[in-house]
Amino acid sequence: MSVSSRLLERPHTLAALLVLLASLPFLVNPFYLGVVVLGVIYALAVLGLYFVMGLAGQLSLAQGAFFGVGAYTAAILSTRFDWPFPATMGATVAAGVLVGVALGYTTLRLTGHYLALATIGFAVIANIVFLHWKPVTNGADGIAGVKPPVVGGFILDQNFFYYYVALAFLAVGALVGWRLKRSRIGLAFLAIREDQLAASTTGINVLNVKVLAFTLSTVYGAVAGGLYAHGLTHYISPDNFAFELSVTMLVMLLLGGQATVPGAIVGAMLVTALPEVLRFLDRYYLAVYGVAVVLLVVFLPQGLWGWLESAVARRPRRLEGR
Amino acid sequence: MDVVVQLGVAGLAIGMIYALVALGFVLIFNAVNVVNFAQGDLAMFPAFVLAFLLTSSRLPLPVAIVGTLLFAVVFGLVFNRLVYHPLRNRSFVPVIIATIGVSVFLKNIALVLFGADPRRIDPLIHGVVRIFGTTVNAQYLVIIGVTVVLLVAQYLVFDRTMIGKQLQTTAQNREMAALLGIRTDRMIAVTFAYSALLGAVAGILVAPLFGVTPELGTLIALKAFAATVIGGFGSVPGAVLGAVFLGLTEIFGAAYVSSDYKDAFAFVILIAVLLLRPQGFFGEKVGQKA
Repeated sequence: MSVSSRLLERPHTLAALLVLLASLPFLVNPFYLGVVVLGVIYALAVLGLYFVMGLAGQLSLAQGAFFGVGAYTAAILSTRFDWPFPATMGATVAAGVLVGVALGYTTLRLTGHYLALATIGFAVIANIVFLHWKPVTNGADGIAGVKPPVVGGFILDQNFFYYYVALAFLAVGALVGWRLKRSRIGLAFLAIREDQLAASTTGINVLNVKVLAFTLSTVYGAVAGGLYAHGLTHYISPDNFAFELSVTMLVMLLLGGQATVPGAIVGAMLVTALPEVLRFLDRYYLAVYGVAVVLLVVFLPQGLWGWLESAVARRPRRLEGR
Repeated sequence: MDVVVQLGVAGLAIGMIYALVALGFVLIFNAVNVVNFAQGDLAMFPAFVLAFLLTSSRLPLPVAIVGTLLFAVVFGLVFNRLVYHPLRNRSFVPVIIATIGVSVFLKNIALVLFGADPRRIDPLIHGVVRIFGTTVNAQYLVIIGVTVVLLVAQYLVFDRTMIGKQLQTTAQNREMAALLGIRTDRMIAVTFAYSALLGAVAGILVAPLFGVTPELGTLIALKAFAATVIGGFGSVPGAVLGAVFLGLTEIFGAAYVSSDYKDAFAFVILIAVLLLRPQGFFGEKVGQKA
């Protein structure tokens, strides 16, 4: 089965998805516009996980914390130093690179669970710093009044307009992710996921390539965090970036199917909408969500789309393994 | 001097709690090569069960404790059957995520069933004890005593009995164990049940100190996790010593350095260990450098 034969791998699919996303604000009830904006922002962060986990096969458990690092970077620069939107977003990229390279080179030398361990450590420390470094982060009170982007004197603070700002970032991120998978770098990611030792014998510098995949994930996470701070309520607090967010982002990636760009985006949008759809569950929502995570990995190993696809295609499965 | 003794006993006791949860991590990790992210919640949930049995059912304490431990064992078996077993032939990532799902479930079902207000459980022994010319909370000594007895018992079972040897063989090499006629699936089920039991003991012991909340397990688990890395992932003595080291560091650090950042010490040490000596104090050399 060649990679390009799959529905999610076709360029039309990505194009159709982006068109659908562009028309989404006209299709949904304005009441839910905020949810849709959040979905697009989360989708960008989940695309980061697509590089490091989907393609390179490394488990990172701190995507929510990298999201938080970007959000705090943007919020602090915007409220304290009056940096405009493009400058703060540039700073989130720098923050992402810094975290990715520093954490990546120190932990990715080792195989196995060490990245997972170190990222958990990072996530916990990041949250403690958000909560306790009051002079800078304002502690549990959070930071309010992060300024929205301004284009030609027009303030984009309404969800409807901000949605397109976020979507522009997502589209660029998606195209980069799409191109990259089909480049030598993307093949190197996949080679490392399948077998590190074999990858290194073909001349791949395993450490550098893993750090690159990880740094892409931290940059995507931090930029998405910056978008989160500048939009929606223009307010952030440590609660927004708890460990559960990192878990949720992993679930988004798994639901969509780990290794495709459209899968990551659809997974993120669906899981973001889930609390609204399942509102009738009320207090039981998160408990049901936990069970759903287990069921997802047990019964849908290829994600929702992978399952749909094989159900639609009805391939003779017996032949696949040969 | 008095203060140092008091802090030392407190640190040792907290370290023992971490050690119990850390052992749960290590035993499951050795048996099936997966980190169980629900390990902390296997301490939290039984603590709620105990609180429930004591207050709502008004059972006497020993009966309630036995009931809680039984619950934990059954839960460990169900957990193995429904979550680990279907995923046993997949890579470690889906299994880890499934255990995270269980963790989210346990935390939130506890929140729904028992509420967010901390539940108090009376200490097993009230009051204070005088040692080295100063007074310490008796519960700390109960924690240390129970844990030490449990560790000794565990050592004897693993080292001296047939089932212990079968468990060890399964952990070392599952195919070989199966060839020798050991029912490895059953051994893995026993490992899950015992890890759940260790978690329940930790929960029962720590409940009188902190009060029981749905979040109780999370922080303990993260610390215990750091302890296993510091001690050397997969090493039983490493996990215990790493946990005691963390407990002491935390208590003395909170007293003399900063109480705000008390919970960060463990993770700063964790990252330092990953940088300088990734195999931990007692671990085997980490293989396959990239």
